[in-house]
Amino acid sequence: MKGTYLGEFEEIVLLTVGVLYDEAYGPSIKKEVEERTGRKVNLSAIHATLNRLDEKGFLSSRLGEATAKRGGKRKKYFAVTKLGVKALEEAKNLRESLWVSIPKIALQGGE
Amino acid sequence: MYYYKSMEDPKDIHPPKFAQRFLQWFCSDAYLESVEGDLYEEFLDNAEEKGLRKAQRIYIKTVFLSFRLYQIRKPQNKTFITMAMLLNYFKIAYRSLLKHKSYSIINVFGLSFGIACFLIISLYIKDELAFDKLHLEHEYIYRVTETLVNEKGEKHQPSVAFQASQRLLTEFPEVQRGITLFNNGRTLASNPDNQYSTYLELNYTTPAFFEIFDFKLLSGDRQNLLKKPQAIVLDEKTAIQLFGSTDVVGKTVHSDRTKHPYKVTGVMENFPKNSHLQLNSLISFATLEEERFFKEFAPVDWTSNYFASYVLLNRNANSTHVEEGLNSLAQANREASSLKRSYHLQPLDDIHFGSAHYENDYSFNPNDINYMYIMQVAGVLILLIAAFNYMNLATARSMARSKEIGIRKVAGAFRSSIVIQFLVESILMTSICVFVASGIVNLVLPYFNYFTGKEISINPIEHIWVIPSLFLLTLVMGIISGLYPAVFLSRFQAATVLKSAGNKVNANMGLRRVLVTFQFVVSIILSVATLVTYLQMQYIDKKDLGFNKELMLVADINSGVVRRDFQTLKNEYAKIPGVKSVSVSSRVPGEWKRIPKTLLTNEVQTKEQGNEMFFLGVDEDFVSTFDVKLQSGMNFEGNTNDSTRVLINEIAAKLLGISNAEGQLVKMHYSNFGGNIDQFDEPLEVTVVGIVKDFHYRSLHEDIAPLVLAYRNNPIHSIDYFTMQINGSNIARTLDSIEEVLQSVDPQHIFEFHFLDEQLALFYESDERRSLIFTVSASISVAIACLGLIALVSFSTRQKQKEIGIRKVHGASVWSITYMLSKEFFVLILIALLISAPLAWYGMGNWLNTFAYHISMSPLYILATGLFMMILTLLSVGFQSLKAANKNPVDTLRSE
Repeated sequence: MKGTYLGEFEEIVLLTVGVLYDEAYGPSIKKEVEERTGRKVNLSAIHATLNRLDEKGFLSSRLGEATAKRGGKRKKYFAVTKLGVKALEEAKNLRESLWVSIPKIALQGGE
Repeated sequence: MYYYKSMEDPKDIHPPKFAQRFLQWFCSDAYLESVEGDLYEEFLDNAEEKGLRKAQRIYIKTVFLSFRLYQIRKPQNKTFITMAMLLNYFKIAYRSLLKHKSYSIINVFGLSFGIACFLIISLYIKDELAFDKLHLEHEYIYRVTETLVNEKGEKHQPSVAFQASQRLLTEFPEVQRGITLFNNGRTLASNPDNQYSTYLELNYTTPAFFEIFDFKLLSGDRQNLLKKPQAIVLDEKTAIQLFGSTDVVGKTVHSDRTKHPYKVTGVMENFPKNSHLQLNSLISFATLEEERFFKEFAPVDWTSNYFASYVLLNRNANSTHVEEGLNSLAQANREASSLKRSYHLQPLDDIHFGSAHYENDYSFNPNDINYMYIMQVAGVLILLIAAFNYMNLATARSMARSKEIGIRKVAGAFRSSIVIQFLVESILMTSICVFVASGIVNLVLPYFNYFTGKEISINPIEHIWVIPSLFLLTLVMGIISGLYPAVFLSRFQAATVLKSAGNKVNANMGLRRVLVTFQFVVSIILSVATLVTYLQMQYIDKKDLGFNKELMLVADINSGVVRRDFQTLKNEYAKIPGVKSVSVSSRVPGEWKRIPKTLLTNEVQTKEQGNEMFFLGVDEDFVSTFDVKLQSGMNFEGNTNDSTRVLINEIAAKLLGISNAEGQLVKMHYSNFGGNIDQFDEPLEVTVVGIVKDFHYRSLHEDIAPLVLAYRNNPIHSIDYFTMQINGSNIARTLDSIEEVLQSVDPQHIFEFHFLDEQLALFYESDERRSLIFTVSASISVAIACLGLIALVSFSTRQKQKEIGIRKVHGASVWSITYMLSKEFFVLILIALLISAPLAWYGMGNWLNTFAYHISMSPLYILATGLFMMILTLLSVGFQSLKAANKNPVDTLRSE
């Protein structure tokens, strides 16, 4: 199914949301992703991905408290839905089954 | 860095406003709050970590990246306009048009005339720019020209020597095709039955003519038109003149210049008006090649300028390279001379606007590109005036419509939909005006074409570009004139507008003043231009040229018979009751053909430093017929001795150091016919017997140059014209008698004549054309500006009705109220005058300098124009104000 396909960056964001449990909102997700992967990510990319995951039904969101640091704006917290968990599991299983199927010799590297 | 950071006031730490606003604009409400919050939070972190600047840069980047990702798009239903709404806008626009009739009429009138004027100017310029572009490969066609330089200056020739023209074809691989064109004067031609006859220009050209140029043929085989000797191609007009039909291929044309008749091999369409070549027939070059003089002359000719030459280069060829090659080839074949000569390839596309400096050009109506720019600017300015007028009136009327806008807003209209409503209105208005303007243009074009000698049309069936360009014009004009009022009107706050009956919307006064001033600046400049060109034309018309030009009939001598028998004709002409006196001469003042020159020397003016002088061959009656004044000495006596005598003009006398004509000997060394110098074996020795006062035998654009008047019987130039001073009464009968006399000597001769004053006027034809365009543009711009004023004043008086009423009740006089209402406009005109004066002064001064003889620019012209504008303002403003001031205050104050 095309709609449930999980891209690489999407997978990372989705996993991060899970990692941050209850504390997952834009900037915290960005910081976590940057720390874990060592890449530079623009906030807009995080937003875009969160949106896409939301549309696909992998994420749910709730509005949180407003703080002065946010100019009086409320936070939007994300959590992984059941569907999201299923998608993550599928991705993990796919990888594992692939890992298992690789002959040992191939993992020793070429040359 | 850190120091600065700590100094920053926390209030200063905020993301860039515009980026924030941009975010708010595109981000949908569902996401906006959290996204804004996230961005702000990150911004604060960044500001602390990396500094304010960097944080702001990151913020902007993030906002724009978010936009690019289109993830949080706002639903665009805010400005969504349905068809039904659009139709409603049209309906409202239509109703408001009808409701305010006087306003609509002023608007339609002003805009339509402005657009019509712009259209005509643009069509004229488009046509001028399209000169010579009808040929498919016009970009690759070049004319070969020559520049001759000696101590006395430069000369430019649009034609070259035969060998130059010929070798281009054989020795340059870049030259794809080339033609040679030779003009050998003209002759009387007739059909075999002698039924019809006409003059043929003898233009010989090579077969490739119809391969390079795409002139259209009516009949004949394009490939084989000009291959055989004696072949001739006629244009439509000449074919009809000779045969009364265009179906004439295979028929023969006879002339007194050739032993064998010409055989018609094709008929072409008349040369289009926007071609620099204007020929009535073409004869095969092979005809010329059979002639003895050509056989002897052509193989060695590296120096003449008899042969016009056009080449079609290969697409990737470099014309400079060909030029250089041709010049070195010519140098190798020419004898050394002090004259520096160089050939150039002039692109066909440049001929029309780049040929003013050529002597005796074949070009038809060369023009100056600068005038095109001036005219285009004038056209655009008029269009702007018309658009500004609309803007002005629409904003002035904001009062009347503020309620409508208020109600629309209350009913839930967005600002954008009100902007669109007013744009629809102005586009509707301009489309009506463009329609009316096209009608006006259609009506005016025949007269315009007649006056400018053009064939312009805007028939959409002939020209597909007409419809889209009119459409584009409508759209652009609609937006230019409608955008400001739309933005201005849509700004009204519903609450304010609806609350107060007397609105205080005059924030637009500043802009309105600028627009009115601009209109008057343009109007004043155009009016000064009109006035100055008119006065200069009057000056030319009235200027004493030093000879009589009124009622002078000039008849051409076109055949050897007439030239030989001229004395008989002269005697017969003199007997006609309407003819006062008759003279024969080689050229007449004001004749549009080249006047030959000669080098005249004596002890003072030696050959080394001698000046070339223009040459006229005249008879003993020239002085009396033309009423030229003798300054000293005597006239010719009418005997054979006269051949060794000459008259000179004052400037020539000064150059030769002669103050009193007492039989000084002078020598003539050669005849120079448009660059072709014919050196005499022995210098011709003649005696100066008289000095004539300077007269303007050339255009007033040029200074009077030294002139020699030799006797008609001279080796330089034989007689070509009879000039008769005639009576003003019964000119028709006089003309008949003259023709009768001519027919008795040469029955085949066609009587060709013109009047000298008309011929002289040809010098100033293009000046006259420009003058007309200035006059029309100025009248239209002044009319539009005044209409605008009238409307503005009528609005502002309506707005001030109460004030006027109250002032009157308190005893103000009618005059003081009129003054109060109109003083503002006088101030504006004064400002306009100050702005336009230097511009007009500079521009018109430059134009006048193109005349060697001209009126001098005077501040009076600008003052007079200013005064004229003041009077017009007084009339348009004063009348309205007076009407308002005269109203009974009871009527104006009672209404509420």
